[in-house]
Amino acid sequence: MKKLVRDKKASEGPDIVYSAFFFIILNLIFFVALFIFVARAGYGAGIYEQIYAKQIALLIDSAKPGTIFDVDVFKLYELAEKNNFNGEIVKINPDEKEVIIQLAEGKGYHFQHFNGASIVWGLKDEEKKLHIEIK
Amino acid sequence: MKIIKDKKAGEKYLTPWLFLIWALIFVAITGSVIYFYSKAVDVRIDEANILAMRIEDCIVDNGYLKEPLLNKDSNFDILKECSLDKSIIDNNEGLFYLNVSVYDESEKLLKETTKGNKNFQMQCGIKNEEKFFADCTEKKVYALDEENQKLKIVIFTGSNQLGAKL
Repeated sequence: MKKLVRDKKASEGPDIVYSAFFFIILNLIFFVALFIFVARAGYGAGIYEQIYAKQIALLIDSAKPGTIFDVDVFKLYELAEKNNFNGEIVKINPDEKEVIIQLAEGKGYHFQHFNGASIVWGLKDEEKKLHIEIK
Repeated sequence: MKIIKDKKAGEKYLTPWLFLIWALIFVAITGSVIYFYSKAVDVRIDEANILAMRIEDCIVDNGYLKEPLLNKDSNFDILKECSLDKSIIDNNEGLFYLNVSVYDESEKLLKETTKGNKNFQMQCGIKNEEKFFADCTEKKVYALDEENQKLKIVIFTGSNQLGAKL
């Protein structure tokens, strides 16, 4: 039987290689971009702002007058530095009874506590700890 | 042998579908990540437990119920005595609720103190999967009064502070 080979071009061979190469590159770009997005979402400031605000608020809620404690906030300093944020990373607002954690530009994360006692607090920058006294 | 003319095929016809599939994968993964990380860390039940614990510690002293709590003539303010902020707790539209009920041995109600958002009593009673309803906890404590009579104190507390979502 005659072999029907029509319009066979010599240049089709390299075209197939180029298109396969281009396809692989596009795939790589797509999946790398997706991976970076997921990784950044997981280590973003928002998550840690929420976690620390709630943890500190719960600690204050459970503390009776006369309690003094330190909270390790090393991770907050690290994230603030990573986000080039030089503002106040921890703030306890006595009027609104709020704990505010901010690690990037924006409004941060606010969470209320219900402890009616007077709260004296301060950040120990060298030790990277939050010092709280319930009076 | 049948020869079909003008039949077209090739990668160029699959390319739009390829990009469509990529777009679908991207939207699915991005949507899932955003949905997952936008969930708030729910500490309402912990807040309710802490509130109940603070009240129990403050009204029961060494196994005895503090007398002013039962005394109708006294100005016993449970929020002040337990160092709880009045503006945060004692707010009918607020995010917290507490109910302290004292019963004698025959289950007769001697005193009831309620502060906060009273809707929580109903919400916690019917709460199943409704995440926007409050989370509550009930604690039963037994103590004695001044005359060494047994008392049952039921402390019911609720919190609906979810906080902002990411």
